[in-house]
Amino acid sequence: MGKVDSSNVIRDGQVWLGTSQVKDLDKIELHRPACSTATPRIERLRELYLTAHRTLDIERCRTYYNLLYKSDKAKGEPAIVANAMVFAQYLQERTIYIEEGQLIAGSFGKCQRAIPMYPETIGKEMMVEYRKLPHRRIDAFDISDEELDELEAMLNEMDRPSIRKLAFADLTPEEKALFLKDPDNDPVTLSKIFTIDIAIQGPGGHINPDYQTVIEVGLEAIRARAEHRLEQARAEGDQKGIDFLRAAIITIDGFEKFALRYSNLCRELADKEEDPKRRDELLKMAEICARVPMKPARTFHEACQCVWFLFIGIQDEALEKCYSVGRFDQFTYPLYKKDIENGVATPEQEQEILDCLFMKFPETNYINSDANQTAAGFSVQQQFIVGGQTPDGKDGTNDVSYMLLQGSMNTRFGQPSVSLRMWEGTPEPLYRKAAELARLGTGHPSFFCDETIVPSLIAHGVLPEDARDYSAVGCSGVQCTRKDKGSHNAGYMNFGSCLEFVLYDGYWPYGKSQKSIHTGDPRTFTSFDQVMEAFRLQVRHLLNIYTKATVKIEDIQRKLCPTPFLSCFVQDCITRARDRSDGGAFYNFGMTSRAVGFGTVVDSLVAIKKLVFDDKSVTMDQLLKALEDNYEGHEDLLALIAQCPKYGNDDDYADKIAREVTTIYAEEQDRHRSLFGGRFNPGFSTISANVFCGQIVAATPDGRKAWTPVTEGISPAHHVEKNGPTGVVLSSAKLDHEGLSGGSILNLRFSPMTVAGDKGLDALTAFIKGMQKAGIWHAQFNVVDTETLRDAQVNPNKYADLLVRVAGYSTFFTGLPEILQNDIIDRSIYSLT
Amino acid sequence: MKKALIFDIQHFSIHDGPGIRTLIFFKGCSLSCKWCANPEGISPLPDIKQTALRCIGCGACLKNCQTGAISVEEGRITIDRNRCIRCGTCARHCPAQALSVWGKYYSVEELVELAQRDMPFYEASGGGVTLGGGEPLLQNEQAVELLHRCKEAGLNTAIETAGNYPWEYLQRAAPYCDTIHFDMKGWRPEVCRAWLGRDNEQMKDNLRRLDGEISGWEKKPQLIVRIPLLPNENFTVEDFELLGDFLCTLQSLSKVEILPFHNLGQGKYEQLGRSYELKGRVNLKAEDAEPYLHVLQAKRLPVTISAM
Repeated sequence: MGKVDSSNVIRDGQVWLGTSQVKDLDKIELHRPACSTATPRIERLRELYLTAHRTLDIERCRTYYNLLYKSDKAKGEPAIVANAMVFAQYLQERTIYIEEGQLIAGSFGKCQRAIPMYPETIGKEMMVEYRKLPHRRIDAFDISDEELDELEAMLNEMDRPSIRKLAFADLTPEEKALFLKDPDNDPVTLSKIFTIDIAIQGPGGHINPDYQTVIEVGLEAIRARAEHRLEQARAEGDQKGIDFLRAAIITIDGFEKFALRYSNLCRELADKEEDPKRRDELLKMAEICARVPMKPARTFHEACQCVWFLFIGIQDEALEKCYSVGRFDQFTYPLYKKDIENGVATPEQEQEILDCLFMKFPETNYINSDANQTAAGFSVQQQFIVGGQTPDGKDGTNDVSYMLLQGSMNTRFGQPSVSLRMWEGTPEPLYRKAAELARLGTGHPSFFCDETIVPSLIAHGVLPEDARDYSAVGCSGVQCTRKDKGSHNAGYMNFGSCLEFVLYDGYWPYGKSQKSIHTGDPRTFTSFDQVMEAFRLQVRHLLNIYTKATVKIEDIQRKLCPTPFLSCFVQDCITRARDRSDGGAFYNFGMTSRAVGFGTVVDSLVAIKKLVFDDKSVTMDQLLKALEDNYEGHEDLLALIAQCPKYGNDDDYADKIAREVTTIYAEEQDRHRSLFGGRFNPGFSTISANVFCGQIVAATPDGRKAWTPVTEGISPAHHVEKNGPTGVVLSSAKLDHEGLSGGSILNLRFSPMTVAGDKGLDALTAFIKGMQKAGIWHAQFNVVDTETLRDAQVNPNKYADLLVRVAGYSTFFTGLPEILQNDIIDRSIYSLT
Repeated sequence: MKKALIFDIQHFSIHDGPGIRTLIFFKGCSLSCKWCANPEGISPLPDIKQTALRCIGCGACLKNCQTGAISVEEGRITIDRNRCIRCGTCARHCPAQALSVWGKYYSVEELVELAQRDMPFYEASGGGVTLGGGEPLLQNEQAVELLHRCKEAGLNTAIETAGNYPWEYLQRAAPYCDTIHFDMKGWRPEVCRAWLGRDNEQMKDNLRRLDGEISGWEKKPQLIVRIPLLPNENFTVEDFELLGDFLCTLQSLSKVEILPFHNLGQGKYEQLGRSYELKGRVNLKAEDAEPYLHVLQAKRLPVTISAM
């Protein structure tokens, strides 16, 4: 099949546009901003994507089932080899297609927006959720009843233990207490004090593999190395090494045939093609697919195709989330330059190829369980990062850096996510181009600051040249490119709960049970230091349990879902003859949680210090009574709280406590080591978990009412900051970022009027440069006014392609659940005065 | 030195001098322009700001008001502004921030410290601190000292003034300013009396003297004349001819900016319990001011329109 069958696109007169809320294709409005240079081809691809359904694709599950349960082919093979055989076989038999007009070949599944299934890590307990997929209101997927029946029969017969099941099978009573809401009576429902969703679906992604080497030498050369290394492992009798290297070679062999299938498909399509121009394109694509990724890429187009092929390999091998392209401008520029010099292509043609590559990324997808509130709107985050220092400390900006920003303007989707690395050597025009993209309001790019991040990585044991070569992964995380095993982020820890356990001596008001350790009745505390010490002990207890669970999951992951294909391009897996899940990588950082509710916790501690211990205007008993009453009848106390200093105002009274809180979190996490002896990267990136975390936290001393959202990322509480965006940035820059190597999200929202025109662009550019000078970790913008968002809630069709930045990712506003839409509307908006 | 009464400090301002600036609003003004967009800056005393939408009806203000100025009418809190002594007790007891105070006393040291906070953004943009109001130079001692100290700290400084005060007020401030925004709010004396509450003799005179004073300086401040405009009301096109001739006599003029009328200050009148005389008027666009622009352009003045 060469084209997407249009009868498959529109069903029941509905169009699923990132959401089931948008209906009627002919009534949607798409917007093209003035800064777009997209060619008609790119506009057509946009429309094609926007009108395609999401589809659940069971072909991968079928191959898995047939090979491992209906044949003897993998009998007696170790799990890693059996998995590799499934991967190779799946690539052999899965449906492939090429979108009309695309210049880049390949997809994750059988049709546009299809997501494969992963029976090896997600067992039959998700079946209930799969049954809901065609009908659920948010994040719906197509799948027929027949296929659902077939899927259920396969999953039942295989009866695979999921990571979730294995991880939760032998929880200690202590662990149970924190992971589960009511452990004595209900073994399933999570407490929302912890979540661990990312790590229990698969290897967890969050990795920046070594595309550069594949582009430079090709998978053939890597296979030759693996074969050579295999002989050595055999000579040494290293069975684990033998298993891994055999698996790696099987996956490369499989991928070689897979790429050739695309080459052949291009040729077949060319034979049938009537338009001579398109026929030439298809023949050229056939040639490229016969070349990469097995042999070195010779042109920019080949490099783009190579990257995309590897992306498919990663996604089809295991359920990975948030794997990044990394420093694309650094590793493709030599080929781009050569193309231009040799007259192979014009800059405009190269831009179109890049835009075609960009148009593949919105396909990344996965199925959320639960109520889609931790990460609503498909927060699969695939990052390109632009600019920044080279490993030897020079500025890396080049023509491709600008093309990436332009590509984001041209395609305007949540994916890929584009980030900017800034440092004192960043040239003014790159800042300006980034500001131009930022004011479009798509949430891209996010901004990372080398001067803050590089020292943090070095402090965590990364070599300076590797630290300078970092890329963004996931939302606000970073990782040195090419050498890291990946998967730093396991899920979320409710920071609001840590605070509650201090206030209630380990008791949990929402669950009406003793959940955590006793740290003393706060009414007996005589100094604020005692409050902070109790907070430290609660954080310690929670991290002890959380980290124990993630280390256990690391062990489960290496057994259940090794990734030999991906390991072929993660340094030093081949040399060490170990999978990346089994200690093969050069860097082996562990997985940990992201804490949720930072601003709520800080403002609460500030209010306690100020009112109870400094001013002594309120007793701890009065405060606790007011919290129990959810502040009803305690308006005087609320008035006092409103006048307390607040984090996000560049106010040292509050910011000192904010820094202390970050230091406690970093230090307590650093007491632990991962399965392979690695350190952890703690951080504050909440995705959209702040909404559901708030649902289990009673009233807090910052004046927040019970069960309402806690704050997100390291952003201040909504509407408390009074000093505008500069105060927010300066406060956030004071945190202990050296300890918070997992990264922290700062959201800022500007009104479109503020950044309009040349003057607005000047201001935004200068503001971004100011963020670099202030030394932030990360920041990102929403540029949309409240009226537009309210109107979009009522008229989703008018705003079909309205993107918003939720947390570290952008997504369609109309596809979000209402509670999250409201949370975004509620964020403070900055206007110029 | 007495503390300065400030009614707002706005960070990230870009319309009040070069780059990203911190704007310090001095309370108190000797004019009462009908279009004033900062009416909370007119009185030299603190003002109570009432944001009715935020009121949760708890009655804490009612209970705590010392003069009985607060009452409830049809379920809405009403402040009798004549009885109110502006002590701010009600605001301190309001849990919803429906009542707050415009006007807080700061020492010059505190203001210098606040002005320096956004240094990374000034460095990135060539910005700095701007004194606005109200009329900043009326609290003359504090304003001059603040400008002086900011200059010493290496900050770029600007003021926004209307020139309605004794000449010495401006003479003292000018050496510490990198930019002076000087408003010309009308031309004919009777029109000025009607729209500003004063004639403009002193303002014109101060502008002329400022020009003369700075013309010989080696490092002189940038002088920008700003003209708020309601066509055919505070100025006619004929007035603009005369104004233009006057401006042509200035030797140190860097720029002229026409500011077409906007109604963005309207909400603040309600929050002050005052009526807004220009209610119902729409924001003007740049093209509404174009005939006026052409008058000054014909005189080869460096003029632009700054519409909202």
